[in-house]
Amino acid sequence: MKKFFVLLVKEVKEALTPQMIVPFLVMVAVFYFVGNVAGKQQEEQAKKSTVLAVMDEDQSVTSKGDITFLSQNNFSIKEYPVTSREDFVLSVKKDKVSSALVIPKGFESKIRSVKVQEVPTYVFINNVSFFASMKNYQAADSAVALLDQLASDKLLSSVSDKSAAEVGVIKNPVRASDYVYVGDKSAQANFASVIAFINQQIFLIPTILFFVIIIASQMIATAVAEEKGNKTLETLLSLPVKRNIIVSAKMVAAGIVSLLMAAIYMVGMQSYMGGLTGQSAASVGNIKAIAGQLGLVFTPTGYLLLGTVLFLGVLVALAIAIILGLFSEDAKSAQGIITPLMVLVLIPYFLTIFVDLDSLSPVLRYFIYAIPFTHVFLAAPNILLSNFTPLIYSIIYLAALFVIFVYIATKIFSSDYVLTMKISFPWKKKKVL
Amino acid sequence: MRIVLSVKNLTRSYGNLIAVKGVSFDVAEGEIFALIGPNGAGKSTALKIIATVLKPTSGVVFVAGMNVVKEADKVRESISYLPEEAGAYRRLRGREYLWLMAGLITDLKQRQDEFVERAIKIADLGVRINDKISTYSKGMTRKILLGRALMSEPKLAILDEPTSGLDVINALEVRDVIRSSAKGGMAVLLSSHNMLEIEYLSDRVAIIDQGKIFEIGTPGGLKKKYRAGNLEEVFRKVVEEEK
Repeated sequence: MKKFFVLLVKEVKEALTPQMIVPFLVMVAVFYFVGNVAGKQQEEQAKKSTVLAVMDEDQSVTSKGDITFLSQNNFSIKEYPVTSREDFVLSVKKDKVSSALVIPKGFESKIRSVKVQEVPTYVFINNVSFFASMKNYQAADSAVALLDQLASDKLLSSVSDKSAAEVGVIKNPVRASDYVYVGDKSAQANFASVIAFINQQIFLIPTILFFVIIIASQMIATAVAEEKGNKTLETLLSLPVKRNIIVSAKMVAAGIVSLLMAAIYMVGMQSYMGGLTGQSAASVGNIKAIAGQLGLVFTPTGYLLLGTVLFLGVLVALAIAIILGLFSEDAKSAQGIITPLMVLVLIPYFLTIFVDLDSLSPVLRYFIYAIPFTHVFLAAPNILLSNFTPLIYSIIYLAALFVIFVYIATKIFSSDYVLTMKISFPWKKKKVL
Repeated sequence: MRIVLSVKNLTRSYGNLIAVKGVSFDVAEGEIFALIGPNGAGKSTALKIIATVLKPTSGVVFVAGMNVVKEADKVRESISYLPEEAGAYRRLRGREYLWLMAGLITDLKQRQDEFVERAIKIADLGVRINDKISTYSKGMTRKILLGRALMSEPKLAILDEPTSGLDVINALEVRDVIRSSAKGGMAVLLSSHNMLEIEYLSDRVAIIDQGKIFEIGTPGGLKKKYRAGNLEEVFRKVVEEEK
């Protein structure tokens, strides 16, 4: 048994290396940071009442009472004067309110005569942070649910002799009739189905992208570290080959690998979307047609732009990974050395899903936007919402970063640092040369 | 004989540690010159500077009359460097590796073919040259690397511990290859902490310790001067004398 414990101590000591502990601690810090930012935002959003635009066409005692009821239930009602529904929609869009409903003319009389009343609801999808904005998007549907409950309760107490048909109406007298707007496009569609369709596209992209960046970076950092560890790099540096050729060959090779990965990813995604269409045809009706009507599907141009941003993002990751790989002494330490890169990927990965970046403080927002991979994760939502201007800025920013990191890598390869730089932890003994 | 390598007051520091302290020596055409000393003496650092892989803190190094810092690209056309315990690209086959390395030395297809054939001859691996390097033993890897280092018949071959870790038979074969290459006019600068081996291989040796060269001479001359039976004894006496 003693021998077991001797071996156990040895194994634990070998496993608990700084290369393993530091990345782990950094990950904990990242999760703490992301959790803190997301938590604070959710807390602030919970405190805020949800803004809901309302146009009361009925102008009845019931409709006015319902509006008062909503404002007493954590809705911040922004009431608009009665006009045409088209003008109402234009005004709401102009005021950048995400959710609206119209109490139609005859609302009170229909409810009183125990007839189903459809309430038109409008959702304006205008923010790339779909998850963070969900509460605002759902406001109209939530309000209709409350009005339905209120009307149902009233009918239950007022109608004494109920026919079978009336019972069905009393249970659910007010029903939402959803209209979804994305930019200038609109469609009458079930909002929940549309948002589910968007989420399936939006959540898939960062998840696959996350793995592409991490795997590609680990691959290239390990390859550089192996060259250094095996001393094939020393041999290479002593050959009559210019240093910029060595760097550019590594970069182009990395680029080809990333292009291949991006292509595989694209094919996979298209297949996924194809499969999704088949499922939804049976279950959610013609959601694909509705998504197309709303411009929520990737066009060939969209795929091209997405591919460009993805390709540049992976190239930036690889350029950083090559530099980081030079700090490592062997393949094992290369796994830990890409921790800074993983942090740069993890922070925007979570924040773009759970937080509305525009609602953050300016300092924090600029910090998040300065991270190259934020732009990669925001590319797909921006393309879906036809926000092409930020996309162009993202492409320029990523291309500029790529040039900068390639320049740094070339400078390092042209100096002694290519062989001498390494990260040493203060608690580790210095090695004698 | 023409001087191929000239090292003058070479110094290299890593932070506060001075790895090489004012080292000077020359190596002539066809000469085998060895830097001998214990591990950490500064041999590898000196060799890396001469191989243009590291830059000196001070001092100058000329290879075939060219400055290794200012004319590094040209110097690399005249040298070949075999790092200590170097590896090869393990996923490649032996012949592929040699073809790749020859392609980095010359743009001419015919010369590339010549280099590969010469390297295959030096490595002497038989049919195993077509196998993946990952399947090679340490001795086989060292021999293919030596073939790579000598295939272009450089003016100066810089070999860091060329027989380190090899068994007796492989070490003897490597020594023979080095000796026959030098006979062809190639200058060879090598390092080793195996002083007995160097005694039989080198024309001249420099005894280096703690970054400083204490003595330069032929093995026979040094043994005579210090009345020693071998270079290990010479080394001990030189170091004791300096203390």
